[in-house]
Amino acid sequence: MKHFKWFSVITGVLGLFLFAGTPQLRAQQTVDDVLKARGLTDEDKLAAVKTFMPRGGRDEYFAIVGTGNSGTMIVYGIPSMRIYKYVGVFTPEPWQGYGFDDESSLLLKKSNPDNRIPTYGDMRFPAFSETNGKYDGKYAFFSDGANARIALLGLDDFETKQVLSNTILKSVFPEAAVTPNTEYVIQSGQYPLPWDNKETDLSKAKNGVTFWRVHRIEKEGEHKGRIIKEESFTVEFPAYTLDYNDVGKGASDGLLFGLAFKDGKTYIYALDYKKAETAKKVPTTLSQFVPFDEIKKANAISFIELPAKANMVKVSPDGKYVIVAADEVVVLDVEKIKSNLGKDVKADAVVHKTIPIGKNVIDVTFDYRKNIAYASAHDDKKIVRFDYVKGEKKDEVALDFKPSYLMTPQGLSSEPHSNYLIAVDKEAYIKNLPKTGPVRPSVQHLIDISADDEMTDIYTMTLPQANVYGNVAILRTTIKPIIRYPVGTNSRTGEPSPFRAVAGQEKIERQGNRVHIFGTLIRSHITPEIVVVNEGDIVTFHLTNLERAEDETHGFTIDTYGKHGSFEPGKTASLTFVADKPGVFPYYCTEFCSALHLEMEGILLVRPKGYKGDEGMAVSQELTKEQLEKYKKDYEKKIQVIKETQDVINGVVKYLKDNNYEKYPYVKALVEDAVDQLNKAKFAEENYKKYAKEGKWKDAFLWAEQYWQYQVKAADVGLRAKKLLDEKLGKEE
Amino acid sequence: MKKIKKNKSMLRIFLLGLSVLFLATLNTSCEKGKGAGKDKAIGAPRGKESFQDVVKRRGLNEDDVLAAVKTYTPDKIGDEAITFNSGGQEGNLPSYVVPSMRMVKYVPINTRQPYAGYGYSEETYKLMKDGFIDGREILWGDTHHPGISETDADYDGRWLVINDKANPRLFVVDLRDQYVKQVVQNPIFRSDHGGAFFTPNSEYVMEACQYPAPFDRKYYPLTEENFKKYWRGGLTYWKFDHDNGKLVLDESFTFEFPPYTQDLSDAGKFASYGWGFTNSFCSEMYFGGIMQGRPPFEAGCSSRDVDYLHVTNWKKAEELIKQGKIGKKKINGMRVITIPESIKYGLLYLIPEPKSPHGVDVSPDGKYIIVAGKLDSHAWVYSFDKIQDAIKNKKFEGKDPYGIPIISLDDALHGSVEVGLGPLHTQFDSRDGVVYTSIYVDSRVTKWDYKNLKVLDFVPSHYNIGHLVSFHGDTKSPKGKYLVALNKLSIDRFNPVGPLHPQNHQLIDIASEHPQLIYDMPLPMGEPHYTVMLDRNYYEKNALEVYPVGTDITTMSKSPYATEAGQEKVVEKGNVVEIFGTIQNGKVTPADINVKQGQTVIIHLTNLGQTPFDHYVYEIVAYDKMYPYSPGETATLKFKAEKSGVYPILVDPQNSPAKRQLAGHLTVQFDQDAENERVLALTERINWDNKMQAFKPSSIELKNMLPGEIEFLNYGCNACHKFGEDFNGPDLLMVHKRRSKEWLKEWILNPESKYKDPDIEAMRQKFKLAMPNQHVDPKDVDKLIEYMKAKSEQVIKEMSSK
Repeated sequence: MKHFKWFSVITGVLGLFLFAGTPQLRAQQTVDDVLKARGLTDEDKLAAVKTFMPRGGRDEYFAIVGTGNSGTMIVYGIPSMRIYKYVGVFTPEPWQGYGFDDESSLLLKKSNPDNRIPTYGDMRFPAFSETNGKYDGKYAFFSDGANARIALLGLDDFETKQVLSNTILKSVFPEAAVTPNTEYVIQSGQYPLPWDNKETDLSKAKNGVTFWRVHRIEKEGEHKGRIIKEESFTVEFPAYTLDYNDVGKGASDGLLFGLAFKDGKTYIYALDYKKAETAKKVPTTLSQFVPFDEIKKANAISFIELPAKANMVKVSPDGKYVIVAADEVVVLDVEKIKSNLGKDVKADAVVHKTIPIGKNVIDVTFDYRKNIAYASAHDDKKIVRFDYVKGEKKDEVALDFKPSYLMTPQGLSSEPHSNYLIAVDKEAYIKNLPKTGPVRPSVQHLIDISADDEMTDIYTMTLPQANVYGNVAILRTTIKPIIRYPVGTNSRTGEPSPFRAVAGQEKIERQGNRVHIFGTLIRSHITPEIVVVNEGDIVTFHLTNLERAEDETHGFTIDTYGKHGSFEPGKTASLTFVADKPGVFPYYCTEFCSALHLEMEGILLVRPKGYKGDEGMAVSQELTKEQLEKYKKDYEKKIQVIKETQDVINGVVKYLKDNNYEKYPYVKALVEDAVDQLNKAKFAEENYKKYAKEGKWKDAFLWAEQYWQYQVKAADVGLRAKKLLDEKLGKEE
Repeated sequence: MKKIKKNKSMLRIFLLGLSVLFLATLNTSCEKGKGAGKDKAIGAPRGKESFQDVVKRRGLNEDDVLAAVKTYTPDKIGDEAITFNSGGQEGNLPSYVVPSMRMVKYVPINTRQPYAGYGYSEETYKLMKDGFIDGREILWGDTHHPGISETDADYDGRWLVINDKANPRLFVVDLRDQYVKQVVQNPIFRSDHGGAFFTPNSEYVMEACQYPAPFDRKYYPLTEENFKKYWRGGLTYWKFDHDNGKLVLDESFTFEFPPYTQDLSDAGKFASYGWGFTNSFCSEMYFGGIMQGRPPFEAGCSSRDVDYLHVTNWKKAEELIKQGKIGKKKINGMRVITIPESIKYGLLYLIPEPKSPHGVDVSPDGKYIIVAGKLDSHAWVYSFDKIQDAIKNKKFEGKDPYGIPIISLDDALHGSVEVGLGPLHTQFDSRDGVVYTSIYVDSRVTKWDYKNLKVLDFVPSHYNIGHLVSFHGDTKSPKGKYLVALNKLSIDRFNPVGPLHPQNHQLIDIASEHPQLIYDMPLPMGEPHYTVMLDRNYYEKNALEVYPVGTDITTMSKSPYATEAGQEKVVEKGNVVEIFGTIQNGKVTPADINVKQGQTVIIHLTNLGQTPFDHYVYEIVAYDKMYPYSPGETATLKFKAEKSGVYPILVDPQNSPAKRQLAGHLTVQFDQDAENERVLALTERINWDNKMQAFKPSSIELKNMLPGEIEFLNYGCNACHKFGEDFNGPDLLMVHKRRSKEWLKEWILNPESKYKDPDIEAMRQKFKLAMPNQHVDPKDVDKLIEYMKAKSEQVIKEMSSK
């Protein structure tokens, strides 16, 4: 075993070699070598540097996309097109405990008229919250076309905060649209149906558009706004099939424009929703609606008959034009629509221009350039840039795929950005992509539109587990996410959980067969570690993550009981189950939280019904004299190690202080966490001193070991703080 | 062992390393705030840019440009490899392609996935059901270690097996269509970890236990004595039928292990063929109990300086079982080789290993086994030859408390190398003797030579690196070239997305002498623990894009419900309406379904499409019924038509931009008895929720509700009652005037007491339903009555204003 000694002696030397500087060996290959070897051109090289994200770099935009029947939101970055997160919205998702812990299970159940957790949702066109027509980065909204629900997500923690059921419309279009100050989230019906469940006669069918009222309370990092169903209403429509809609802004503020189909004809409806707001409403048990008669009477709606079938309708950023995607893009003039409001007219009466684009135009979108829009000609495999005021084509790009839905960052706001265009490829068949079986990922492309006279397809993005439709994107600096919760937060409400527990006050409460466990999580133990219940008990683990370090998320599950929770720093969540099988059930932390993550475990013991045997809970065996002596030696050794470790910690503290760590929030947070760890150690210290005094050497040794664990964790965090600080200092240079 | 103790303890070495780190100068990887330029510039119009313009704007250096062209993979060229990752608590098998690092799939394993239909058809739900332990519906899992089937110690690209740590199960995935085909439960473990690892010719799949528990799954009081006596760890060798991709319980066996909390495993090959290696991390047999005054698990489980590497001889065990000499004992149907049997026949040995180890990795030639322990700064290299010598010469340093022989470290170790703080997992290079070890605490990868025992180089990884994967890195012929570092979480690296971070998988180019980090990829859902990287040429020859018409994808054979065009039919038998239909070019036949409320509806559809673009999602709106039909697939939806009304049936052509086409309607004719049954079942579900805890929305929502409204909803009163009209129960408008408060209280709390009252009986006749006991908490009754009053007044006011 010579090498051990040898290494301990040269550790310092080796360490200095490793950390004094990486030998900066230049890679032997040149860029040209790589291009040649991989069959790439200079155009590819240009596209590569436009999209490649160097280490630690930030994408310019956050984008979110509707994933169709997946029911889960995808967040990705532009231009790197890397996917950052999947967020459960209408479909349960265990990584986040969504639909697996009590809080989110109830959120989903209570939004379902059958009081079940629906198994999926169908969400296609998302929306961001707006202030004065601009994205404000607070909330995202989705409409569920499968089970007629609406969802509000907080962009502070990227969690689903609210899911409500539409109690009037059973078939809704999977799109959410917001008014310019997020007064309403608009959810349109899709297929007309009788509103009464006892009625099956389709001639009694009708449709509607629901205006969900939003109340907002916000401060930095706390987005507590919610949809208020008591103030929401539905505008009744005759039996049109309804489709995509867009909300007016600027010149068309207060109007809603949507696609409607009936008897083989296509219409654009224009609805003055401000008039609907004040119209007489008929209450239903759980909601209210404005009868169509009232809307007609108030001259608040027009149906504009289009000459041909259309796929999409979008309002221009200034609100003056309504652009309808058909083989020929039809540009409607808002002034003319307004002057005809209340009358049903043909498109000719309100049209501004008609522009031939190509076959099967699916979508249009805007950018910052004045009066410029983009249209996807699906069957012609091209995207056309055109001036919708002058009615002329500017240029077009031929593509290798059939483009459908389009998005420019902030393109649905009054402040569209430029440089990038996302185009969805519904066929999603990339010949050279490694095969994934019949179920393939969805595909969309990043098109560079920064040049005024050309457009270039620069990246093909694959999106697994998603049936992709509409995207929206927001400037990254507009969103300011939090990194942890105040301790004891129910993340779904953003408020303190009544079930939170603090360190040292963990407890098990029992009332008959109802058992509540109020516990805590901190690396690397779950308190309590041993729980004994009786078969048939209804058991709830209410757990609070006491960590402050932003990366110290813990997960929790009990083997074979089917429940899972994710506990980000500060979060409290509950898991309830019936202990219906007797036996021994280990529980553990499911997130790799520290070097001792695997040891973050506990045991649930379920006593069989009528069990009369020995309680024998955690009884320790008697120690022999030799064993006791050995533990004493181990204890003394450990005390020495503790001293040495303290010196190390003192060293790092000095280093951090000398370098003004407080100036860097990430670093500061880590240091606070390290101090926290050491404070927690005090309990262990008291214990080992006490047991040493009493001559209980085993307990003394184990508590000393525990104290050292805290020290190492504090040192580990300190190290990471130092690494981050070095990075920050490097940045300042 | 004595020698180690004489020298400085490993803890000391660990600490020395720590202090060195603190003294080191500022020289970790500098993360410049580059890539997107200055904040104020982003979003601004740019105009046309040259290569140099872009490089300047984005602040790229020479290495960045090189990394960009090494990873950028336009459609005209293809990626070289695909990775399969455990999704951790997300419960699936995420995969991405290399070198472009694009996510391409989440193969569903434990968790329902609507996009792939997993758990949504009768066929796929049945597969999930095979994994319901003790009959409990388990809709998630904690996938940990995927393994690819092997032939001659190399990947054959045919099957993949992955385990679930939370619920001891294994899942077999067919790599032709990347879909689960079999789910098995381990009938004697309560959790598992070290699996799935294939033996070199896929004879067996190894699955090691994690947290020990009694094999018979019975209750025993937790005492130190009982823990030693009844709690057990173990290692299951699952027989694998390679032709059919099936794990065969009858031919499988489990080694009984002491309750040492076993961890990862690996199978020997070539020199060590026939043997298996399994780690452990709590050989102290400690259990915590903070609230009972016992120090926590983490203190007791790491108090010894070493843990044990378990060495098992499966080849010999297989022979002895065939000869009927061992393994006669079966527990819950699983054949168990007891500890005494293992000792008697020399099937199990222990060797000290660095404490709290994680990876155990067998070298490509099978001669060495590398183990790294997170609480020791060394990686230890064991020599299989030395182990065999010790066994042959019966040279043991002693026995463990169960009598298992322990081979001394000196007699087994080839050597050890100080690789850094918190070494975790080792992967092999194509270069002889070269390995890469992930270093958790130092956040780096150390490149070293396990034969000559020296450190060669290192590359800093982002943060808290866990496992590593190199290209075919655990086979007989690693391909080198690519290495991926699996970093846990991704602090300050990507655009922030709230408290729950993605993981960070970093692609490292190991082709050149000095490894180069070339890509940071966020892993957007779940927490991969382990990854395998497969050359696309190894599996694509078998890959399917469409199924033969009429395929049940869970059995890969013709479904008995496959229906041909023109043969569609509806069969009504008693209370069951069974539909045999087809989908062709997006049209479903039959389109409409007419049933009576309460009937059971079974829909078998066959997708007749045979191109990769014939994916159709069949959906019944507001009935929570949906299935995405792959080309050629036959699958079944089954449900009870519990609610009346008309519901659109949609067929969505997934590969076309058309939005959800109306195909027909499900019409469910109202039936009073069925409606009553529905309401009773609904109220039962609501009652169960109230046992759990009452739903409480955020205060801004509550503020806008009437007093008592949330209680009215939580107790499910709205399932039967409206204000202003009769519903499933009587109209509640002004009920507080019709009945006294005391009467209402009694009626709500104890409805059974009034069933015989004549007026109640009359209502019961009318509604054909008695008011059920909703088990209202007495403290909530007043709130309910208050709500009835407030709501009545509100409705009256609205009515009068009309």
